[in-house]
Amino acid sequence: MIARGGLAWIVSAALLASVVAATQVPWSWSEDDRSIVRLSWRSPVSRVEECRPLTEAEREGRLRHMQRDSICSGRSVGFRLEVDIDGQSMIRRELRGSVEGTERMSVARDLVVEPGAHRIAIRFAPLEGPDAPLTLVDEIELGAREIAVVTIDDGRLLLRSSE
Amino acid sequence: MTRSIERWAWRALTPLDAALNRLYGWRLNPLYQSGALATVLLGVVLVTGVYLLFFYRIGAPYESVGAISAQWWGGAWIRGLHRYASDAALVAVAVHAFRMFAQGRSWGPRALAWVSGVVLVGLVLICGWTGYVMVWDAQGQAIALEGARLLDALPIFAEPVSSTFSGAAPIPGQFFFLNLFAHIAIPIGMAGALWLHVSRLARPTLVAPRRLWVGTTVGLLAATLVFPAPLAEPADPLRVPGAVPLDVVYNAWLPVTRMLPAGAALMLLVGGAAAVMLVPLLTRRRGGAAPPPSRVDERICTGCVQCSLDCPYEAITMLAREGARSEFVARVNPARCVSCGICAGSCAPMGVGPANRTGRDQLARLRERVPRGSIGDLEIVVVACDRGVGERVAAATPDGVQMHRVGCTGNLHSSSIEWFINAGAAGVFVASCPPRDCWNREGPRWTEARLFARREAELQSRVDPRRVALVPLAVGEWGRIEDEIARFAARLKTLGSGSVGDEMDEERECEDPGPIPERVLER
Repeated sequence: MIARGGLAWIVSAALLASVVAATQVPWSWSEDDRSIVRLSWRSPVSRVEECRPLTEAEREGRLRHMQRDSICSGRSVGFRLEVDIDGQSMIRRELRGSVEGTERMSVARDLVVEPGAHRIAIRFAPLEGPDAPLTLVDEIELGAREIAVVTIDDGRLLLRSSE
Repeated sequence: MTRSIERWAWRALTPLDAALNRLYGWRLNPLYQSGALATVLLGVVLVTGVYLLFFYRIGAPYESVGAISAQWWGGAWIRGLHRYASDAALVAVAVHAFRMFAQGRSWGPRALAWVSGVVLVGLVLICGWTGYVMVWDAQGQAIALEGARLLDALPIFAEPVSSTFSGAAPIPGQFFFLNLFAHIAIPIGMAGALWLHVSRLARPTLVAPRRLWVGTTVGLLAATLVFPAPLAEPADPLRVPGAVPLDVVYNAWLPVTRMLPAGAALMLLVGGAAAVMLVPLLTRRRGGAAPPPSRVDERICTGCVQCSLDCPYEAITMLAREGARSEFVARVNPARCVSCGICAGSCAPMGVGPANRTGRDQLARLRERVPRGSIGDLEIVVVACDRGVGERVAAATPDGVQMHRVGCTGNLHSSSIEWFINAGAAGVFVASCPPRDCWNREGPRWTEARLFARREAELQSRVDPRRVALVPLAVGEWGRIEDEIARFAARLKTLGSGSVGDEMDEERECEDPGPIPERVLER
């Protein structure tokens, strides 16, 4: 009986210890020490509207209350994003607003790089319209697993890091 | 497929039950008490959480948790207890669910309990994740980052959730406020889900035996003092998390989903949750495999309420009637009846029970199989629960012992015991499951009350109660079977002949039940 009681205590302690051990199992989020250049910003999207007069036939074909002089169609202005790191082209693509009518475009992209010094060049330009392109050319020293974030602040592309 | 998994689970559970029965005895077997233990542990989490709430600051989450952990006189061990108790609660919940699945108690009238239980698990998990995010250390950041990545796979957000943690801007205080709000509000939802979970049970057991829950809590407290709850490196949005001390009880999914594209990971998680949710559908018995619900013979029912009081699932209500032999008549709700047959054991005139298992059916079978005088004077009849130790008892039955198996000892009518004695048996040994392992919840409890405490449908006074033994036998206690039977046989030898004569009365009616409780009346 005493032996069974002792064993019960030992098993209880082992069960509790296994619960405690299960709460702190060593695990690594990332396999390596590589760093990240993160593009993360939201940009207002311009809207372009094009109008043309309705032909007589088109007017006649419409209900009375819709018989206007002109018809307009609008679209969001896209952007071209170009990213170079250390002279190597990382991104060359055109982006369009993901959700119609939100009038904001989100850019979220992680570029994995080795730790060390890097030269970053970014150009974010509207595909049409009068707005000037946003550009960034900067150098940064990234430590192991460090993240440098490129964002838009006060209408300018800005590079942020933990330093 | 699901049924074969169910059988595999049952085969896996039995030796575990046996081992812990040998170690702790069935009264304190934590596997038997897993559901009640989970409730108590969640209570511990609630109480310790209230204390931690006083010191937590939304504006400085990590620093405030650090300050709590530095309170060696209180905060450190209360935080540890909060964390370890929540882990132990989730383990207990998992054991409880596995047990119900393995015992085939997940379908039919029990489907609501299963589904609400899955919802409860989901709420416990979400509550745990928000708790980890509250700390805002490396693990909290990992949960937030991966959770946001998976949420972004859903086409419902105008802007990526991940952008909150991108490091482009400080994490807004509203995020920590919402997280704290969820951490506090979800337990309120859990209370509702728990109510639903036990809503089809009469007298649900929400608290484990004191020795067990106090022992577990003290043990967790001791563990906290020896191994304080860890606080990892602070979260840094501008640094990729490195080594993370992972709580695999809550976060075992993290390493798995990290390896998968967000859409695939989300489908895996949602698919897994849906599969668990659909268990009642996958395990349900159809056609002849589904046990029939109880029925009431209204010509026999005296409206005494006893079946309604004894039903562990509140499946029987009393309906007013006119121009008949009683003011009320019992009515079984088949959607709630699990066919346990406990009502059959509770009905003195034997007018209720599942088909072929009413008291009258039991007696009819005994008349045929065990005619009067067919049992030798010194022979013992052993009646064992088929779900528990029946098979093992049958194998261990010594000479001079006749074996009868029943679906649940709670189904056994006291008249059957009287019949055995009348048939010449020296005594009747009823081997029930341990009360906390009764598949029908209250079989052994009511059997004991009917045999020895004169609960309605009681063993008649003309039967010497010393000739009847009710012994709970748990799986794993095989050595006890023969010992207990031998001890009973020795007791019987001192009593002499056991026949009680011919006075059995199948038409006996219940005693006056007195006022009928409101809850059992159907309107």
